[in-house]
Amino acid sequence: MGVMEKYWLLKSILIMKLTLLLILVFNLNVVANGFSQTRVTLNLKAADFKKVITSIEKQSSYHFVYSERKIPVTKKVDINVQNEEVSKVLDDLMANSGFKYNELANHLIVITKADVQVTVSPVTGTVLDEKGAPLPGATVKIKGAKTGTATDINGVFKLDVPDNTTLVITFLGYEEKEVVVSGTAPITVSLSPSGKSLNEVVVVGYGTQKKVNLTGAIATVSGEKIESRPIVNLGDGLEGLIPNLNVNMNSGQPGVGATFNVRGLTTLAPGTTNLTTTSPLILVDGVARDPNLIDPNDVESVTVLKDAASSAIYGSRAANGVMLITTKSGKKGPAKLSYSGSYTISRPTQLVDQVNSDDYIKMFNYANRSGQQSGGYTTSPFTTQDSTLAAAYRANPSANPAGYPDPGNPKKYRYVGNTDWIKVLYPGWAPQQQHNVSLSGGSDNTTYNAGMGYFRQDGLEKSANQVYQRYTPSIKVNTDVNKWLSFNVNLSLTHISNDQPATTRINQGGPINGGWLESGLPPVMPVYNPDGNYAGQGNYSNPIAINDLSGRDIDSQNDFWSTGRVILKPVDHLTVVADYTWNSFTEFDKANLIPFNEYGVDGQFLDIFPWTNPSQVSENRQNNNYTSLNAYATYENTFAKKHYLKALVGYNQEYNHYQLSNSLAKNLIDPTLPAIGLNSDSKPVVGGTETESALVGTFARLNYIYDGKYLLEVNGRYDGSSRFPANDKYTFSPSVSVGWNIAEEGFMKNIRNTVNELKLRASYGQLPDQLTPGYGKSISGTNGGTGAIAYNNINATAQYPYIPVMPVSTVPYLINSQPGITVTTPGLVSPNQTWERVRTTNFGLDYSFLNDRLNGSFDYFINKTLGILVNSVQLPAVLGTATPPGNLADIKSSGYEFSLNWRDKALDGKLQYSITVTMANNSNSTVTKYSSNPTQSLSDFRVGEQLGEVWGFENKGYYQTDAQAQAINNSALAGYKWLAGDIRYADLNGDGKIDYGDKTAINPGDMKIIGNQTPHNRFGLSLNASYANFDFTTFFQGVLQHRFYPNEYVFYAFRDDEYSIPSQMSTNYWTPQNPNAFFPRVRFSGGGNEQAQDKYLLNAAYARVKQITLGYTLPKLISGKLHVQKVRVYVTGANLFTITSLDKDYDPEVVGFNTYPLNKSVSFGIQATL
Amino acid sequence: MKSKNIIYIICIFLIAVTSCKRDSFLDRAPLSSISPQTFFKNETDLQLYCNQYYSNLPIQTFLRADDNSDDKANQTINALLANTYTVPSGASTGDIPGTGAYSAGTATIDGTGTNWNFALIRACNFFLANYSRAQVTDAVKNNYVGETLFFRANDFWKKVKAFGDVPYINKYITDTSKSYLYAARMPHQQVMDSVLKDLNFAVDNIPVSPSQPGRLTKYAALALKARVCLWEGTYRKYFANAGDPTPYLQGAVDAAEQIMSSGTFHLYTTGNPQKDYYNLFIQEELQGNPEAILPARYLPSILTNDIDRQLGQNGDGYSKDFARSFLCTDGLPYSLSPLYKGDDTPDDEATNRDPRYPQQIATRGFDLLNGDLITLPRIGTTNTSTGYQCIKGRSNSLAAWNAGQSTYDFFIFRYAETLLIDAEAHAELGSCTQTTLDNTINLLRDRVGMPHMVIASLVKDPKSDFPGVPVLIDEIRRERRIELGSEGFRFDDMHRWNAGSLINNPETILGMKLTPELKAQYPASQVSSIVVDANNYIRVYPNFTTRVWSDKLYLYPIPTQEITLNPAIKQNPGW
Repeated sequence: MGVMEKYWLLKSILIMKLTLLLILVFNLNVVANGFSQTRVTLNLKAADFKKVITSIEKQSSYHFVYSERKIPVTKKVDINVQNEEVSKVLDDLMANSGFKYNELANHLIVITKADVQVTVSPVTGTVLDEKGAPLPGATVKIKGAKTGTATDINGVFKLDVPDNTTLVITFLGYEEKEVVVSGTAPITVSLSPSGKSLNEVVVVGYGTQKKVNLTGAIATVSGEKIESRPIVNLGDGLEGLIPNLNVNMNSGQPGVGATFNVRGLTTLAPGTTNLTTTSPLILVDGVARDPNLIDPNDVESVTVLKDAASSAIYGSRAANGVMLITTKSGKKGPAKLSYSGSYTISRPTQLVDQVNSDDYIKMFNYANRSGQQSGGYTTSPFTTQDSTLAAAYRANPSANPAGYPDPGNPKKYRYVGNTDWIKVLYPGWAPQQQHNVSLSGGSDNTTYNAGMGYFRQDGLEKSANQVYQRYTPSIKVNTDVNKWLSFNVNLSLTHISNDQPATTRINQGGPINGGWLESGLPPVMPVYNPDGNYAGQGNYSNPIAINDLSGRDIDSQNDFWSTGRVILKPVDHLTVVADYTWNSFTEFDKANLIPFNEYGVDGQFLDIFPWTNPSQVSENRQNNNYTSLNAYATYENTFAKKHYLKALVGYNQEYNHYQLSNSLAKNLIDPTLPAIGLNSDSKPVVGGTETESALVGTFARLNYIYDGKYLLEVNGRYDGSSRFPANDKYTFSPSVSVGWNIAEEGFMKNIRNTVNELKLRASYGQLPDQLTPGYGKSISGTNGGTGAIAYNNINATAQYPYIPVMPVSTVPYLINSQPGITVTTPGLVSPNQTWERVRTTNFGLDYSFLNDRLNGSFDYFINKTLGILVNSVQLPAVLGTATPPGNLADIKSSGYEFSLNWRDKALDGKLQYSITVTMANNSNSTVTKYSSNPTQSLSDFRVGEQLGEVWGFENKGYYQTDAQAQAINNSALAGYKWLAGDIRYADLNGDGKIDYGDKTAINPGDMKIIGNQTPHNRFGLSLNASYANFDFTTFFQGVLQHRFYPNEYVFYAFRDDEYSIPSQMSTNYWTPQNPNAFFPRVRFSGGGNEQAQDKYLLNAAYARVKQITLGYTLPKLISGKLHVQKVRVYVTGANLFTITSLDKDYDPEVVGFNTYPLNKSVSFGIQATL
Repeated sequence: MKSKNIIYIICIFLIAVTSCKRDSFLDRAPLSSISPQTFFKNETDLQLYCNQYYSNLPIQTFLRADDNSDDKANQTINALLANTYTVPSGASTGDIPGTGAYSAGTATIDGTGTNWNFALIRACNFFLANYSRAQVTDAVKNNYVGETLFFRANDFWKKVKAFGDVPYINKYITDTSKSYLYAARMPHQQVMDSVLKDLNFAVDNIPVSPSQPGRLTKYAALALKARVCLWEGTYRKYFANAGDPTPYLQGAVDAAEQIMSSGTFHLYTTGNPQKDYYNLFIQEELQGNPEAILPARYLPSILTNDIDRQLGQNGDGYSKDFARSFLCTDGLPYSLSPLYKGDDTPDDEATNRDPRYPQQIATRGFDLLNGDLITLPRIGTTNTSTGYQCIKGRSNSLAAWNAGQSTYDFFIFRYAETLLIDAEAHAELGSCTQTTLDNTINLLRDRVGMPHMVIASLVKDPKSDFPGVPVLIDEIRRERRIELGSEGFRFDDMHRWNAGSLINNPETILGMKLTPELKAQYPASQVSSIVVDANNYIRVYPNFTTRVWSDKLYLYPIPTQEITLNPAIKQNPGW
C-alpha cells in the first residue's frame, strides 16, 4: 500500500469514528428535545389577543411570530378550555378576526392578516467571524420568536422562515446582528467581535452582574487568557493578570501549588511577614476547592472580589477577599470536540554557582584560622596533604584519586575531589506534557461538557526521577426540564500521583523536599569513591546515592466533587437556586525506606547509611468529606422603566469531616518488598486524627439602580461557626456600595462616542474573619503539600481553639521496655477569644473611551483589621507555656490598583492588537494597636511597626587592622575577638560600643530601620496581536521596588557552620590584599559580620518576560481538508528573560535561596477543534 | 396554580432554614483529643501523665560532658570559660551548648538547666492541682506525687545551680496569676529548703519496687537526694553567708547510707581490674546490673542512640591537667611517685598509672573500631584535640557505631557516685573514718586494683589543685574526679567548692606533649598545623595561653527580655 493510500485509509477511519460520535450526540439531543406540549388549559376573561398568545406560549412549546402593530388589540375574548389542542384554540380565536395563522417547523406559528399570502421558504446561510472563518454554534433566531437554530461546524444554518422575516444572529463575544430575509438566496452574515466590554457579565457572589452595574472592586479574567499556553497550575496562569491578586508560586517542584493573596497583609501571624499568610476564600463553581487541583484548561473565568462590599456575601471566610473560579459549561450548538496538548521542557531559572575545591579549601582554612585567631568556631582544617592532592585532582581528574585514606581513620576516605554538585543534581532540562480532550455542545434544552485532562511533569533533580501526574476527568450537564425547572449536574475528579524518592519523608538528602540544596555537600566530595562505590561515608548525605538506593514515596490523591443544582423560575423575575455538593478527598501515601551499605577505603564495609535504617514502610491515609448546601432566591425587575431592582436572599451550610490515619512498620522481612504487612516489628506505630467543622450563613443582597445612573448595593450576612464557643458562635457582616454612571448623564450625551463609560464607585464593609485557628492561620493545609487552602486545618487546636486539649506523645525513655507514652499538659486557651474584623473602604473609577478601545479601572482602598488574634501580653517565662492568644491588635494598610487596556485594529483590520498595563501596590501594613508588647521589643510586633521592616546596622566598611577592630567593643554581637576584615558598624548612639541595646524600639542600641522587605508596585504588561493566521502574545511581570535581606549561607560563606557550602559570589571576601571586597573576612558562624545591615539589603526589583507565545492557525483550506474546524500550533517560552540587579544566584521572584527554583521553559503545543 | 405553590413552598423553606440558629449543627468538639476535664481518673492516667517527666532525667552520656571545666579542652573553645559568652535576649528552650546539653538522636541530654525554661515546673504543678480526683488509694496517689516532686525538685536545683536565686513557682498558675508571674527571685537557700522537702516526700512515698519497670524507685529518689544534699552542703560551706551546711551534709550521708545499707547495690566487677571499669560503660543491658540504681535503657529497633559513634569523632580531649591527676599504681601522685616515667611519650605517661587511665584515655592498642588499633594518639584529626582521646562509653563494635543504632545503656544514678558522696560528706562533716573509706573509696579502688586510701598515710600532693584543703578531702576530690570523669559533674563540683579559678591553670587547655621526635613519627601534613608551647605541650587554642576565671561565671546571665518583662528580676552580678 502506498503512503497516500495509507493516509486516506487512516483518515476515513477517523472520519467514520467521528461521525459515529456525532450521531450519538445528536441522538442525545433529540431525546432531550423530546418534550413537546401541544395542549393547553386556559381560563381567561376579556383577554386581548396578545394575552391569549402569551398564555399559550407559556404552557406549550409553541412560539408566535407576529407584528405588534398588525394584530387586533381591541378584540377581547373569553376562553375556557381544558387540555385542548392549541390548533383548536387558535382556530376558534382566529375565526372571523381577519387574521390567520400558519404553523411552521420548530413549533413556530406565524400570524398574519387573512389576506396576506404567507410563503415559507427555507433559508440557508453561513455565519462567519471577522476573519471570514465559519462560526459554528452561532444562534440564529427569527426576531420576536424564542426559537431558532444554531450553525453547524461549517457555520451553516438552515431555517424555514416566512417572507420578510428578520433574523437575529448572536454569538458570545460578538456583536448581535439582524438580517432581513427575502427570497431563498443563501445569505452570508459576518459578525464582528463585540467591543462592548461594558456589557460583559461578571460572576459575583451567588449570581452574575453586568459589569456596567458593578459597584465593588471586582476584577475578572477569562479562561482564554490562560488556555492559550501550557501552565502547570492555575496560579501559574493567573500570575500578574489581576492587579493585587498576589500569586506566590512557592517553588518549581512538581506538585507544589501556588498560594494566593489579595491586597496584601490583613492580619498578623507571629514570626512572619509572608504575604500568603492570608489567603482569599477560593470557590470553584461555588464550592471551596483547592485551585491547584483543577485543570487550568477547564477554567471559563476567574473573578476576584477584592473589597468587603463585594465579598461580604460570603461572610466570615471572605475577609481576605474571594476568588470565584467558574469552569466551562457546554454551549448550545453542535457537538464540538477539542484537543489541546503541549510538550514542555524546563529547567531552573537560576542556578547557584558553588565554589570549586580550590576556593573551598582556601575559604575553609581561612575561616578556621579566623576562629583560631579570635577564639571563635574552629574545626579540623584541611591539611597540606589535602590541598596538594585536591590540586592534583583538579589538574587531572582521571589520573588522581578524589579521596585517600584518612590518617585518623584509615578505613575512611578523606575527600579531595572537585564536584560541582549543582551540575550533578540538576544536569539539564526536565520534560512536562499535557493533554486535554473535551466534548461540548447542546440542544435547546440540554447542554453538556465532558472532558479529560492529563498532565505530567518530571522533576528537575534528575537522579530523583520524580514523576508527577494529574488526571482530571469531568462532566457537566445542564438540562431545562421544562420552562420553570432546570437541573444541573457537575461531576469532577482529580487524580494525582506523585512518585518521588522516600527521602522526602526523612528530610535527608533534602533537595527533594522544598529545600533544593542542602548543606554538607562540599565540592571535595566526589559522587563516587575512587573504588567505585557511592561516596558519602555517613558524614554527608550523598543525594545521588540516596535517590538511587533508599526507596520511594508514592502519593496518590483522589479529589471527587459532585454538585446537583436545581434552578426554578416559578414566575417572571424570580429565580430560585438550590444546590448540594459532596466532596470526598482521599489520599494514600506510601513510603518505604531501604537500608543500604556505605563503603570506605577500597570497598571495605563501613556501616549502614543511618537515615534509611531500619527498613520501614509508612502509610498515610486521609479521608475527608465535605458537604455544602446553598439555597438562594433572586428577584430581578425594572419598574417604571427607570427603577431597576434586584434582591437576593439565601442560606449556606457547610460541613467538613477530616480523618487521618498513619501507620509505620519497621524491620521489613524483605526490605525491597515494601508491604506493610510483611514486617517483624514488635511495635508498629499507628496514629490518627479526626476533626470536624461546620458553618452556617444567611445572606441577603439588594441592588437598586435608578435610570442606569445611580447604583446602590447593600449586603448583609449572618454567620455561625463551630470554631467559636457557644456564646460567640454568630456574627454579622454588613456592607454597602454606591456608584454613579456619569457617562449616562444627559450632559455627557454629546461625547458618548468618546466617553463610553465613566463610573465612580465607593464601598464600605466590615467582615469577620473566622480563619484564625489560634495563631496559626496556617495555609499549609492537608492536601498533600499543594499549599492547600486555609480552612483545611486538621488539628484540634486549629478547629477548636477555645477548647484545651492534652497532647499525646512519647518520651525517649523506656517504661515497661517501650518508649513511654504520655499525655501531656494542656496549653492555655482564652475563653474570650473572638472573631477578627476586617474593614475595607474602597473608591473606584471605571472608564472606557474612544469606542471602547481604551478602557480600564482604578481603585484605591484602605484596609483596617481590628481585634487580630495575637499572643497576649508577653509574660515572664515562669508561666511555663505560651500565653493564650487574645484579640489585641489592629493593623491598617492602603493601596491601589490600576489597569489600562488599549485594543484596536490596523492595516485594514488585518492586524488586531491589544495592550494591557496593570499596576498595583499595597502599602506596608502598619500596626496601629498592639498591647502585647509594652516593652517595644523588636522580636515582637509593635505599635507603629511597618510589617516587613528590617532592623540592622550601618555598614562603615571593614576594620583594616586587628588593633582597630579590638578598640571597639563588639562583644554584644559576637564574643570572639574582632579582627581586621571584620565589618565596622556605625556607633549610632555614640556609646563607644556596638550593641543591640535592649533590642527594643526604645533602646535599639546601634540598630535602626534599614529598610522594608515588602515588595511594592507590582506591574504587568501584556501584548496580544494577531495578523492573518499568526497570533502573538507576550507578558511581562515584575516588581518595581523590593528589598531583600539574604540572611542565608549561600550569601554569607559558612554562615551556619563548617557544613555550609559557599557560593562563587562569596569568594569576593576580604583579605589584606583585597581590602575593598564585597564580603568580610571568612569565619565559621561569623555571627558578628552577619548582622542585618544596610550594605547587604539587596535590591530585588525585577522585570521578567513571563511568557512569550507565537501561534499559527492553519488556513481554512488546509484544516478543511483535514475535516477539522480549527488547528492552532504554537510555541511558548516562560520565564526566559529577567532583568534584575540581584546576583544571578537568586531568582528575584522566589528570593530566598533554599527553595526549589522556578522553571524557565519552552513549550510546543497544538489546539484542534473538530 | 402550580408555580405559585412552588414559590410559597420555597419561601417557607427559606424562612425556615434561615430563621433558626443551627446550634446543634455548629456544636463540634474534638473527636480525637483528650480533654483535661475527663482525665486523671485512675492509676493509668496518673502514670501516663507522669511519663512526660522522664525525658528530663539527667542521663550520663559522656558526650560533650565536662567541656565547661578543667577536665576537657574541646576543639571549639568553651564560650563561657573563654569569657565570650553573651547575655541571651530571650528565654529559649535549649540549654547552652558546652554545658553538657546535647541532643544525639533519641538520647536527649538535659543539660544543666541553663535555659530559664519553666515548662517542666508547670507540668508538675498542673499534676499537683489535678491528681486528687483519681479514684485510687492514697498510697498510689502519693507514689505519683512523689515522682512529680522528684522532678520538680531536680529542676529547681538545676535552676539554682545555673542562676542562683530563682522565682519559686509551686502552684499551677495561668496568665492571670500576676503575683507569681511578677514575683522577685526567691533566695537560693529558701529554694533549696523547698527542694529538700520535695525530695523527702519523694523518698518517703515512692516504693522500692516500681509499679512499672523503668519508673523511679525509692533508691533513685535517695540517690538524687544524696547528690543534691552534697552539692548544697558543700556550697554552703565554701561560700560566705550561704547558710548552715550541716543538715545537707548530714542529709547526703543519710541518703547515701540508706542506699548502701539496703544491700541491693554493689560495684560491678568480674575480677578483671584492667577491663571492668571500661566495660561497665558499654553494657547492652544495665537493668539488673548491681551498680545501676537507675539506668537509661536502649533496645534494638525500640529505642536507640547515637552516642557511641560520636564519641569516636568528637574533636574533644582530656586536658593535660586531667591526665596528670591520675595516681600512680603505688597510690601516690605523679609529683611524688618514683614509678612515674614522665610524659615524653604517650606510652611513658600511661605506664604505672591508675588502671582507670587507659580505661578512659585511648592508649596504644586501644581498638577504636573493629580492629582499628590506636598506635599514636590521633591528633590532627577529628578524633581528639589534645591527644588524650576520651573513650568512656566508646566501643569497638561496628553495630553500635552505625549512626543512631547504638543500644548501650547509660547510668542515671550509679552506685559509685553514691559511695563518693558518702565519703565526701563524711569528710566535710569531719566524721570520715578509715571504715568510711573502706566502705566507699576503697571499694572503687579494689575494682581497678589500686592500693587502698589509708587516712594515716595520706601525703599532701605538692602539686595539688587545692593546696588549702585538708589532705583527706583533697584526695577524696581526686578520687571523684577520676572515677566520674566525663560524667558531667565537674563544673558543678568546681562551683560548690568555690574553685572556679582552677581554670586559670594553663594546663587545663594544654594537650599531650608533642616532642619533635614524636612529631616526626606522624605524617607531616597531618600535624603541620598543630601548635605547641615552649615545653612542647599541644596548645589547643593557638591564640589563648591561659583562661581567666571571673566569679560571675558561677552563675549564668538571665535573658534580657525576662528582666525587661519583670522589673523585680535583677541580672546576676557581673553580666
